[in-house]
Order: sequence, then C-alpha cells, then structure tokens
Amino acid sequence: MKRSFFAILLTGLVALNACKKDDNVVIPAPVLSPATGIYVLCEGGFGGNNATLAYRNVASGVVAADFYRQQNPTQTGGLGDLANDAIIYGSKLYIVMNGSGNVTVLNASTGVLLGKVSFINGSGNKSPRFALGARGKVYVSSFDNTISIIDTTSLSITGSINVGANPEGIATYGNYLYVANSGGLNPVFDSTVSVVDLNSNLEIKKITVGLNPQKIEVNSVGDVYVSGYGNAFGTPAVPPFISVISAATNTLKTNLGAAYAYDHIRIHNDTAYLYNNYGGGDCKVINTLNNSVVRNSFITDGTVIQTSYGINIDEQNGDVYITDAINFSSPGEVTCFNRNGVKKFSFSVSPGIIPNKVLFAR
Amino acid sequence: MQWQGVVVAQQVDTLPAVKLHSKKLPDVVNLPVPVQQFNKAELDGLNSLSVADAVKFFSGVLVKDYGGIGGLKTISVRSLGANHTAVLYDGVAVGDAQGGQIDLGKFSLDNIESIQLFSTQPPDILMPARSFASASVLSLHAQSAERQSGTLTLKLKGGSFGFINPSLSYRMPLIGHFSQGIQAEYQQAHGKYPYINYENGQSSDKRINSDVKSYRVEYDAAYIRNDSNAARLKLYYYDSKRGLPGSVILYNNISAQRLNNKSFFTQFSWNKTVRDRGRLLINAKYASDDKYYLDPAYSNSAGLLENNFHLRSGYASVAYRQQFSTSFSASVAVDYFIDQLNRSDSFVINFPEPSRYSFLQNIALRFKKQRFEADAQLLHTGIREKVKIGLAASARSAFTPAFAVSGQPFGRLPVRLRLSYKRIFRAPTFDDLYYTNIGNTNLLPEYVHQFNAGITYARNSDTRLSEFRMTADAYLNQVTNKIIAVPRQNLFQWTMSNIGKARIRGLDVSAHGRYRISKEWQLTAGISYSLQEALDVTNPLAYNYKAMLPYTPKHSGSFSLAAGYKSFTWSYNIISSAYRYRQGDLLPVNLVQGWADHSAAIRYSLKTKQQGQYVLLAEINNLFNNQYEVIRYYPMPGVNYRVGITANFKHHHKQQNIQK
Repeated sequence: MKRSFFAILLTGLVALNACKKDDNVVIPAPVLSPATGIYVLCEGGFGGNNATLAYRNVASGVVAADFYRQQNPTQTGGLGDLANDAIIYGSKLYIVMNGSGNVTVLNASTGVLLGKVSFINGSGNKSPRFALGARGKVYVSSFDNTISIIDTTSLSITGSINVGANPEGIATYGNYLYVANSGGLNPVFDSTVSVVDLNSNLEIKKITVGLNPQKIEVNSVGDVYVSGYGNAFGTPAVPPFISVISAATNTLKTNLGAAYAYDHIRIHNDTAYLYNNYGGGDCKVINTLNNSVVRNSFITDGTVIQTSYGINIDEQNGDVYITDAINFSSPGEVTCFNRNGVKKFSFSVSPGIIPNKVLFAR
Repeated sequence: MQWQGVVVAQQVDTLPAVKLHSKKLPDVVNLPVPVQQFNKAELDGLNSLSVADAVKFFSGVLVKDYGGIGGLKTISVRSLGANHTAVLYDGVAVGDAQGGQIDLGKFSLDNIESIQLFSTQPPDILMPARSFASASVLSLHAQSAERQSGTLTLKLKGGSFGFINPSLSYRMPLIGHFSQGIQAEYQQAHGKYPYINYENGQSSDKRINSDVKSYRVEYDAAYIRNDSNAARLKLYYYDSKRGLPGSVILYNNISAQRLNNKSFFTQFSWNKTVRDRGRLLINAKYASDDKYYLDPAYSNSAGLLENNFHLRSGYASVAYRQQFSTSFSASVAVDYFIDQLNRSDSFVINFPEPSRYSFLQNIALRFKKQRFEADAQLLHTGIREKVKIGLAASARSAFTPAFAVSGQPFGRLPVRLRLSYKRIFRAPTFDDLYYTNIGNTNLLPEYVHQFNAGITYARNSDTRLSEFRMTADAYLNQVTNKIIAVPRQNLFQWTMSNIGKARIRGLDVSAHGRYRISKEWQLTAGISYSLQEALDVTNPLAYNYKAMLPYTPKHSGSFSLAAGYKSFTWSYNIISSAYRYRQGDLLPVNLVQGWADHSAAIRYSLKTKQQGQYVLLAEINNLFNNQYEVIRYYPMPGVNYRVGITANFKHHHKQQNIQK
C-alpha cells in the first residue's frame, strides 16, 4: 500500500514535470517517458452504476481495481453508470460518463477528482460518448447531435457544435474535427462524417461513408479512417466497413471493401489495428500508407482473447493493449502484446467489467 | 364481505346475507402436487394491495418487485422465471404472447376471493389444456356474481405517497337463475417515496416518475341452474397510466419514460354434467392489450421514442371428463388460440406483425382411492406462426408428459407422500422472436424437467388446535435451451439466444395452524421457508459455471400471525430474503443484500341494525423502515401507512325477485 502510494506520488511528480504549462500546451511533448502507470477504464453494465477506473503500477505490477474510489474516498458512489471513454489531455484525465451524464475530471497523475462537467440538460441527459483533446480544449460528442467544448481550466462547457445524428468517435487533423454520425438511435442509421472547422466551430460539410459509423482515426499523412457497424439486423444485413477520407480535400477517398469489414479501428504510427468489438478476439493489422495487410491476425503466439473490446497502444514503446470484455458480465482482462503480437503480460481488472480503454500515466 | 377478511373472523361471522358461494378450496395436503392457497379471510390479513404482494407469502416464490405501487411485479416460482407460470383468472388463462411476463401488480386484491398456486399443475383434471402447459399455475378467483340477495359494497382506502383507492361493488339477482354484478375500482399514487441516496449513502432522495393512475371495471353475469349446469360471463377492462422510474442512475436523476396500458377481455364459461358421469367444460375468451410506451427525451431525430403495441387474442377450449368407476376417471381437453401482435407508431420499420396459432390437446388419467392417487397425463403443443414481413419462426410440435402419485402409507396416520414429474415446453415469446434488433427467429423452445417429492401432515380436530398442517417438498428443475439475452453489436442491442442450462434444486417447507385460546380469542399462524440452489450449468469453462443464477437467494421465507378478539383482528407479517447476486458473476459489486419486511394491521368490524356492516382498517407496511431492494438500484418504499373503510349494505327488496 505504502509502496503504491509512493509510486503514485512519483508518477504525479513526473507528470507535472512533463507538462509544466498544463493545459495550454497545444502539442504534447514529442519525447515520451516510459509509462509508470496504466489506467484501465471499465464501462460497467447498462444501468449497473458499476463503472470503474483501474490503475496498474508498472513497477510493482499491483492493480488497484477501483482506483477512483481509492483516491477519492468521499465519493462512495463511485464513478457511476457507463464510462464510455476516457482521455488524458494535459495534466487531466477526462472520463466520459454516458449513463450518469457527465465528464468526470481527475488529476491524471493522482486520480484525485477535480470536478464534474454536467451533461444533464433540463429534462434530459445529453448522453456524452467520446472525448478528444485539441487546441487546449476538450471536445465531447453527445447523442443529442452536438459536440460540446469543455474549457480545461474552468471545467465548464463553453460552446457547442451541431453535427449529425448520434455522433460517436471524433478525430482531428489540421484545422478540422471529424465526427462519426452514427444515427444509431434512429430507425434508419446515419452514414455520414461531419467536418467541423475548428476556427469557426461550425460544421462545414458532411461526407458520406458506410452505414452506422463509429470510430475515426487519422494517420500521419491526413488519411481519416472511419469504421462502423453497418447493420447486422437489416434485411439484407449490412456488414461493418472501413471508409477513408482525405483530409486534404475533405472528400471520400475509398471504401476498403469486404476484406476490411471491421467495426473498430485504432491507428498508431500509420499502422491500423482493425477489430470487431462484439465479434471475437483477434484483429487485423494494415499499413495505412498503402492499405496493405501486415498481418491478418495480430496475435502470433496463440494467446486467446474472447472479446476484444478496446485496443490502445503505448506510444512510447508501441506495446499493444487489448481489453477483453469476456462475456460482458464477467470481470474484464487486459493483455499487453509487443508490436509483433507476442504476449508480454496480462492482468484482471476484477471486479471491473467491460474494459474499453487503456491510458498511460508517465 | 371484506370484513370477513380477518383470518379468524370468518368463522364467527354471523351475517347470513353476505355469505358467499365461494368456491370450496381443495384440501392442500391430499394432492399429489404442491398447492398453496389463501382464501379471502387469509388474504385480508396479509397487508397486501395486489396479487403480487400476497404471493410473496408462498414458499418457493420470488416476486421480482421493482418498487412502488406502479412498479412491475412478476412472479418466479422455483426460479424458473415469470414465463413459466400461467395465470388463470376465473379458470381461464391470462395470456401475454408478447412478453410472457404478467405484471401481478395490476391485479388488485380488491375483488379476489382466493389465490392458489399449483407447482407443476392444477389438481382438477377437468381444465382447459392450457392450464397444464406451464411449470406452475397461479389461479385467481374473483368474486362471483352468484348470490341470493343484492349487496352494495363501498370501500375507500388511502395512504402514504398519495395513495387513494375507492371501489364499488354491486351484486344483484336477476330473474330466474340469472344474477349479475358490477365492480369498479380506481387507484392512484404519486409514488414519491423517500430512499437513501446511493451516491453518498446518507441523504434522502425521493423516487421520481413513479406515479400511477388506474381503474378497473368488471361485469359478471351468471346462470346457475344447479350444480350440474352453470354458465358465467365476464367482461373486464383495465386502464392504467404510469411512470417508469427506471433504475436509479448515479448522478443522473432524469426519469421521464411513461407506460400506458389498456386491457380488455371477455370470457365465457359453461360447465354441464352430461348424463351421469360425464362433465363438459367449455371456455371462450377474447382479449386485447394495448401498451403505449413513451420516452419523451430520446436522442433520435424526433426527440422522443414511442412504441405502441396491440395484442389481440382469441381463445376457445373444450374439455370433457368421464368418471368410469368410483376410482377411475379420464379427461380430454382441446384448446385453440390465436395471438396477434401489431405495432402502430411512427418509429417502427418492418415490424413483422406476427400471428401465432396454438393448438393444445391434453389427455389425463386419474386413479383415486381413499388413500392413494395416481395421475398420468400427456400434453401435445402445436404452434405455427405467420409474419407479414421477414421470416416466421418455424412450426413447433411437442409432446410433454406428466406423472404424479400420492398416498397415505401409514394407515390412519395423516401423513401423505407425493411424487411427481413433469416435462415443460416453453415457446419463445413474440419479444424473444421478433423484437426489433433483438429478436431471433431461430430460437428453440425452452425445456424443463420438473421433479418433486413431498411429505404432508394434516390434522383437523375439535381441540384447541383446530387446524394444523405441514408440508415439505424437495424439487429439482433442469432447464435446457434456456432463452437468455446476450449483447450483440453494442450494449443497447442485445439478442436472444438459447445458450443457457440451469439446475435448480430446492426445498419448500410450510406450516399452518389455527389455535383457539378462549371462546373469544383465536390465533392463526403460517410460516414458509425455501432453501434453494439455482445454478448456471451452461458452460463448464465459463467463469460463472455453477454460479448462482441472478436474483436467486439461497434462503427465503415468510411468517404471518393473526389474532382475533371479538370484532377486532390484529395481524403481523414478515417476508424475508437472504442475499443474492444481480448477475451470474458472483462479484461483490453484484451482491444485493438480504432483507426483511415487517408489516402489521388492525381491523375492526361493526355491524349495525340496518343490515349494514362497516369495517375499519389501518395498516403499517415496512414497519422498521428497512431500506432494501429486491432488484438492484430499484429501492423499495420504507415505512408507509394505509387506512381504509368498507361499508356494506344488503338490499331486501331484491331478494323477493328470486323467490320461486
């Protein structure tokens, strides 16, 4: 216990050092120090009020399964319902609480609660989904067809951008924000990406992609990759897809086709990891500079992942962390692979269920 | 009649004008299958507002109670779930082809004369085939129209959380052998009951959007020629509007979803002796159920979500029983029914509008001597479906047998042993098969093997302990092809799947006694206890293999005590459950704590010279203000009160009409 507290303290100091200018830093420091801690966000069950944030001390390997409550003992209720996404931006950790209707902001080094940005709006919950840090602000997509702009100092919503129906993933390149409009709550799903000009905070156009887009990731040359669910229940069923938008022209560049039918994507160093977050464990690796297949199966050592629900990459060393939602009710697991798909270690986040995101404290 | 309610008052009731032709309840200890029951008097002592409250006192029963007067309350008998319990209202099945889970909170006890729960099946072999098609049967008997004189009953109840409940019942004879009655009831409650805040465990919050308004009107007509020729007609209408408070979501107190229900049915039943030893029973029913669901703050382009479902059902049944000798009888029953589900709202695309045609035939044989009984039965279920859009589930056909024996092996010692087996076929519901993005038309029926072995002891005597009975039953339920929801694509979109296997073992014990302390003092007590182990045995490799099924406590029980003295009756009741888990993964975060709910009541009945009678009632529920949940994050109300007054009048002049 003492040892882990010391480690956290140390983590805090390192992180503070790394980011002296706090949230006004536009581009994070290019040279990353090795991770000292690994955060794992567990979504929790729908209506279950059991979202958790776990923390694994890299040096000791000790996992604090409910790190949020441990670091915030007065918050007896815990994080709340449905933690959909989390990011570290500047010195802060932002957790998007979809069910509880807020963005819970923590000190990224210590996990201490700094404040909550409410997404409860009169008679409804805006239902926040995903967050992205850019230009000193945090942009949060919400099911009420908006992107909210959070001021990282006052921790309040200072602006709102109207986009398409039920926006999900967001990404940025240049002056633009790209938003996947899923329309997932409408009888007919959406199939567009909104392009938002970050100078005016206005949507300037919509680009048609596949049906029910979910995730957006960008490579180094401005290719915007969009993945989506399609509609497994449609007549006929529509398979998942990957569409590519060119940020240079803001037009659709290509749809990758049946061999790339995955609903989720994560890009790191121009390498994309494609996976289905309800369809088994393995993922496909492609090179986004020419869309060639690097490996059809990322895992090369026979390790079995039951339900790969989230993939995150440690940008410092390229390690790939796959979160396993198992059966969506059993305790989740996280497995770390090196970039060649060989397992390095794994750990349980019990009692956390449905882990969806891994973040790195440095 | 309501004041007969006190558990013991019924015996000393001296008002002949309101004697009911209530159906004689069977002697529960002599039957080959477990039966539990409450008559009107017993029901009145249980502080129960709805059928759901009363059945909590039966052993082996768990009521999934989502809290509050308007909250959903479904029954699970021996952990098989609500889909496995048939509900009969005056002998005819109350169907719900859409969801299969009947909300027992909608059935007010106001006009219920008796409730019986048959584990496995009803003891009478002259029943519609549908009565034999479930793992257990909950049989509700409403007040019947048959009586010799006109009576008018007015009731008014009120209580905590804005509860107001007036009702009226008027019974009158018509000409000849005809009689009729009308019953009307209104209920409302704002439902804003306090509960302990989940975020800090200290301050008090109020449940919101938990209001309910409902009314019910029933009309009965009866033609009672004599015991061997009787016909009954019932019209029933129920209308409710309620908030769906949902589970408490931390840091988010938005709750605005609404549910409106309109239920109508009319049923006709005719029972006639054919020659000497035959008996014919014909039933027919038409029912319509409309469910309107509204989420006024839904994040789609319309800004709201509506579901407007219409279920229509037609039902006909013919049953015939022949007594071949004093000890041997047999029956056949043939049922045919049609269920059709439509949806009419602007959010529906490609709703299949399924129709289901069910054809059930049952053959039952019974051999009965004084101290021995053996029953054998075979049910055939044939189902076919049609849809307007998409693929219909394929036709299904199944034969399911049942056997039961009981005997009194030790001479005159009133100890009986009973043994039964039944195979159950549970067809998937419309929701299981066709619910948008969730339904799966490839679903197979769920099957259960039910085994029961029991022992009973009963003694009625003229001593001070005038009644005493004990029952103990051990059972095993093996469920295969269990229909469960599994997530697919995202957490908002689940799909139904046949992946479950469950093994449920248990022991139900009950005891009941009536003791006369003095001429004026009487005590009645009942106790029930259930021990069970309901395990998921789906996948030996899974984390939750042999883990407790969700919401299946190992221990549960109830206790009720009533004391009568002259015109007063006091009653005290306890219902209790041990801890259980809300999910099959036995994590501490999924633990739901055990609880006990105590309630007490006092009743006073006053008879006046003018052939009227008044009853005053005061109830206190959850006496110790125990903050508990039956379903996690659905808090139950704390201490609350109800008071009521009943006035009953008899009409002499009406009596002249039926003098022959």
